[in-house]
Amino acid sequence: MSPIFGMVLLVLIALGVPVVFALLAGPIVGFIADDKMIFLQTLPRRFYSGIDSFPLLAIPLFILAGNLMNTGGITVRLVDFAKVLVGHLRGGLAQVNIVSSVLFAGLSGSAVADTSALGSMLVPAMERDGYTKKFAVAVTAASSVIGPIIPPSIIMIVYAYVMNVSVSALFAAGILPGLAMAGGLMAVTSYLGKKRAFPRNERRATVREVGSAFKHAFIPLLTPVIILGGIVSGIFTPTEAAGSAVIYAILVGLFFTKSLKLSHLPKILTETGVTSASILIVVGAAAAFGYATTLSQLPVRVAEFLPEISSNVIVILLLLNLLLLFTGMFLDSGPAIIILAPLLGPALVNYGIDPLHLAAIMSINLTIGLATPPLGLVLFVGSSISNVPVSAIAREMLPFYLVHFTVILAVTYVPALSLTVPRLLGLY
Amino acid sequence: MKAVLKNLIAFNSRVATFALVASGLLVALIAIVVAAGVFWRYVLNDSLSWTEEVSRYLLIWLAAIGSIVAMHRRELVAIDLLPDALSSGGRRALRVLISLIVIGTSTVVAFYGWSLAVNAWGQSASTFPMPLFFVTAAIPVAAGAYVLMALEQALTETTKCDRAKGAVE
Repeated sequence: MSPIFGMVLLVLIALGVPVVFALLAGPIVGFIADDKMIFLQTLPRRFYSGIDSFPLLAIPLFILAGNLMNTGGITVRLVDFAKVLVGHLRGGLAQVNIVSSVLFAGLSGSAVADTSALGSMLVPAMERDGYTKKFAVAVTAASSVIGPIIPPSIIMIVYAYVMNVSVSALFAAGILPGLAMAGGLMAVTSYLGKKRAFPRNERRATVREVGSAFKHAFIPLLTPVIILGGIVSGIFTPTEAAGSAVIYAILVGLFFTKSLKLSHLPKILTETGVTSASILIVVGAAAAFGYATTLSQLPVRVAEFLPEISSNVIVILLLLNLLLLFTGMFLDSGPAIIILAPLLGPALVNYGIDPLHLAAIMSINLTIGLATPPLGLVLFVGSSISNVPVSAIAREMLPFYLVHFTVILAVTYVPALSLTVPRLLGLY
Repeated sequence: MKAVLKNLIAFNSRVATFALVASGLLVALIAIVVAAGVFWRYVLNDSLSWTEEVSRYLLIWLAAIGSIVAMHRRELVAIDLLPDALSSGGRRALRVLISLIVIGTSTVVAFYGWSLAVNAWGQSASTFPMPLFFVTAAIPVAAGAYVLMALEQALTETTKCDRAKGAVE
């Protein structure tokens, strides 16, 4: 089969056709052009079987759990807990923002949820404290990409499904890079804090205050323990863990924080449904597209072609990261991973790159793409909650991008950063 | 033409409202079925045989129905750099072109999806008796709705009427 279907995909995406239709139109044009009309009937079947998967159920369930916990007042308690921990540092609220992102990351699998939940709470607070609004949004956006790196993570569920690696192992692979990113962002914030004289909370929280905040945050903080503990110990599949997290979030919201009302449920459920469906149909369409990719033997050709560029793993990985960063500037992480991973994966594994390591590189790199201009979902959400233009946020984020890129390079060239935890836990 | 568009807009918005309610219910059902599976398996130590299969079928309907809402809200993931860079006339022409591509693609998927669904009459779900038609039908239903939504967008751009103006210029 000729590679025309791939070109159709690229042209249509560039024109502004929704990705899901571009993924379906590519093979349709390809089959017709090759006079293989008989294959057209495989498209709906692939689309269907692409979604017919138990592991994918974790997507709506984790999104639902995140939405429930956000409405359930859990976010407020996490931020309060972060305040007593790091509020006294230079640039206190900025540090609180980053630490809250780490805590929130253990509950939610999406960077957008992180930006909107923490941004709408912390950006006004930071402004009152004397920070510029654009810096407040920048630190929110920069730290929210930690969300899908520390498990649970929607993008990792999608990658694991498409490329057939273990979700649990990939989740575990994200833990250290996520924490490293948080550490880097906090160091940069602290440096900027000294240079720009950011405010700080003069008084450090007393042991009693820390204890009280911890008591309030303890029950919500058990959520990541349930999710991760259940998955990592092999008791739960990720889908079962997500289902349990939903029930736990409902119980906590209704009976512990008492800020979740039954009247909130219809909106939470419907918005979860629409968000999840938009992701799922792209996964289904990608399965249809993947069939054409396989027929065309494009991955084989890529595998033959890549060594002609360079036989050096270091160079190839650098090129991979540049390609991912470029793609991430324009495309959402889910569609990007669905298109690129099956195409490049086999060729890169030929270089001796570990499949789980590759999974970590691609997931983390494309997650950071959510925060890079010109098209970055996190930037758009940050802009819409603050009315700061995307370009101003992106400029303010320059020092934070430095941290993002350093983490990408570290994950790429130090495999131990991603592989140690899964190995220690016996998942890989 | 305007009367047709007006009816189409009203019809699509009713479809989208119905789809929104249905997606909420589907999410709730998925959560209940998966949680029931966990409860029976780990707490009662007596796995239910049907929860896995049922939850997968609910997921397919969720993808189909929820995406109709996303399509109606024009929230599907797309790169808008080119449309945003054009003048208003160029943007309108491009949007018509995009809508036509969506209509063509969805028609093919709806057509072959329908024959897939009809073929599934003879197959039954594996843990309970139900023709798989009732699951595979989700694909042509969604694709059919996409055609209607894209048709509305194409007509909206060509007649310069939109939902906000209630199809009256």
